Amino acid sequence: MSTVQISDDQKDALQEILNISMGQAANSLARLISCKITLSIPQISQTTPHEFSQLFEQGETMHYTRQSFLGDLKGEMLCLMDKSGCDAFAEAMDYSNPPSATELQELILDVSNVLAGACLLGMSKQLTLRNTLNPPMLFDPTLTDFSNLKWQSALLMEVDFVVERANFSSRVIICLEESSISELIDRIDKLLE
Amino acid sequence: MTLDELFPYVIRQLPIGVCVVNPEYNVVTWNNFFAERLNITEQEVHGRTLADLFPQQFAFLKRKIDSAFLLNHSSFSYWEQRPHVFQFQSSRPITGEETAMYQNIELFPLSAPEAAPEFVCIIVHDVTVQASYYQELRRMAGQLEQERDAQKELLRKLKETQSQLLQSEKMASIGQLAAGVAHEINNPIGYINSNIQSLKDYMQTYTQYNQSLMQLIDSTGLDKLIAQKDLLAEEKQINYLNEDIWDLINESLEGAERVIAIVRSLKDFSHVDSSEWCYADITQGIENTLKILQHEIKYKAIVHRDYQPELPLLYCQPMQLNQVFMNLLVNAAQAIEDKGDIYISVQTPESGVLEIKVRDTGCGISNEIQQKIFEPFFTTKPVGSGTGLGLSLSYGIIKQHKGDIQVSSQPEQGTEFCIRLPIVDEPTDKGM
Ligand SMILES: Nc1ncnc2c1ncn2[C@@H]1O[C@H](COP(=O)(O)OP(=O)(O)OP(=O)(O)O)[C@@H](O)[C@H]1O
Ligand SMILES: [Mg+2]
Repeated sequence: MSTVQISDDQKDALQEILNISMGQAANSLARLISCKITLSIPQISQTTPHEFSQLFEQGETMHYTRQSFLGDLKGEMLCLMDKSGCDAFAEAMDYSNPPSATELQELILDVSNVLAGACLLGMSKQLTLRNTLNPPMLFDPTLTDFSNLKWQSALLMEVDFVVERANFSSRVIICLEESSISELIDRIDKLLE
Repeated sequence: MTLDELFPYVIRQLPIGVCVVNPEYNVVTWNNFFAERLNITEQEVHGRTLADLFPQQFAFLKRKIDSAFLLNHSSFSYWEQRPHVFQFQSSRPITGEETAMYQNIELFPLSAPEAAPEFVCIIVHDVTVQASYYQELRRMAGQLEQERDAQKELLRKLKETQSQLLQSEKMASIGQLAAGVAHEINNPIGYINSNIQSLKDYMQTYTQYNQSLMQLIDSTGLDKLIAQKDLLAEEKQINYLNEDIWDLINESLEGAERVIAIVRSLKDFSHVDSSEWCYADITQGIENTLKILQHEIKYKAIVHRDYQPELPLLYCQPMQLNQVFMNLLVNAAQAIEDKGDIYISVQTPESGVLEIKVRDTGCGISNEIQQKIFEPFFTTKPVGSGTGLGLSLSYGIIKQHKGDIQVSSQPEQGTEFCIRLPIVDEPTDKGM
């Protein structure tokens, strides 16, 4: 297979970059909602379509959004949010109680846009890359045929955000296209020099 | 034209809304999209606040603008969640019915490279066409789903109807069977009855003859012979036999007569040519029906009859009318939970009209249900027990007689069905 492999050194460096950019994302969100936010250590993995499909195993208990990006790097941001947490979060955010379906959708899209935007742009900035992020969309994995994906390998960078006060957690995943992986590695190598 | 001159021109003409605001929510500029819809030119709007321009939407816009400034990247709003942020009309005032414009909105920060954003640009896309397509699609999908459900329901009803038809077919063939059996029994019971009748006559003669014989022996005065006769009579228990024979014969005759009566009403009821028109005594038909239903009614209700004397004969299909009486009486008995009364009256309240009323003291029928009871297959009885055909058939039969059937009922009190039939003469154009 022609997959680009990522070395341990490169992985460490990428993790450091992500730590910083995710931290910035957490800060952004914290300022926006004035709540304390904690985050997990970023996980970096290369994945096959089959492994990828397992991300959606929680099915109906989660809300999903996706948001594609273009530019120096190409790929998609995914956001997974626990449904029960979303309700609690909406409450903490002073939405009507219980929030209407559209209010909840708006909240989910807003939160994922903030998180994904901050993560991606933070990372791009440190690597001096240029990217534009398209609007987020709600995503229903049950309507997707994962057995028919056209790629062999993708790079996933995941991190969990937790708003403790609202019992809300969200997982943000930056998914990089195979062709963008070498571009990313290039930049990291430049930084490591 | 230089590029710098060109760009403002392009932006002004763009078919999307462009509005630039500063961190104080003052409009710096906007393009024709906004200017033309609000009748406020680019020059006039400069420096006015969003709060002033869009008081109702300001809270929402402020939140979005704050987020774009703070995070230094785009924020979005979609028509699905917020269809009409700006109160604009869709762009087809003449050809299409004018509707509020559906909008997707993007707010992105504007900044010099590597600097904090100074402005936020609000972009408005008119997505009315897409939204209406999408909504139409959704409406159609919903309609399809409804239709599919309706079809499912229809299919279910069809299946139910089929099994009910099967059931009523079964009932019909049971009726025919009953008629057949009745016919078969009719002959033997006929000769059994007449034979027992003859036997009774013969026995009368025979006992007379026997008595005379005894008297003859007594009159001889031969003590030995008389003693022997008495001994023989005692040995054979002749005195007892003489009594019991009559009980046996009379009981048998009674039994045979009962069988004959039942067979007659069975035959009457399930008459093969049941649609025949003739003059008939309605009360006779009711009585026949009651006889058949004896077992269903006996333990439930006392039947009270109120027949006007000397009722005229009615030109009708007696067997069909019996069917109607049967349905009404069965329903009445079924409506009575424990014990109750059934009142039957037949009168001529005015000349030319025969009125038959069947009233029960059963559970009654609520107003909503009263509307439906004559519909075919309407039943409140458990699945498999009622076909819901009884009243609709009855209704059909009464209409055939140019009559009228009506219900009046009080829940918990009881129900009365009232049938009014015109008394008509046999049509005279027969055998033309
Ligand atoms: N005397 C009555 N008292 C109360 N309800 C009645 C009476 N007669 C009819 N109904 C109501 O009208 C419905 C329809 O009656 P119908 O005779 O057409 O069908 P059914 O009695 O349910 O079924 P089937 O006659 O086939 O046994 C009954 O299910 C019952 O709810
Ligand atoms: Mg009935």
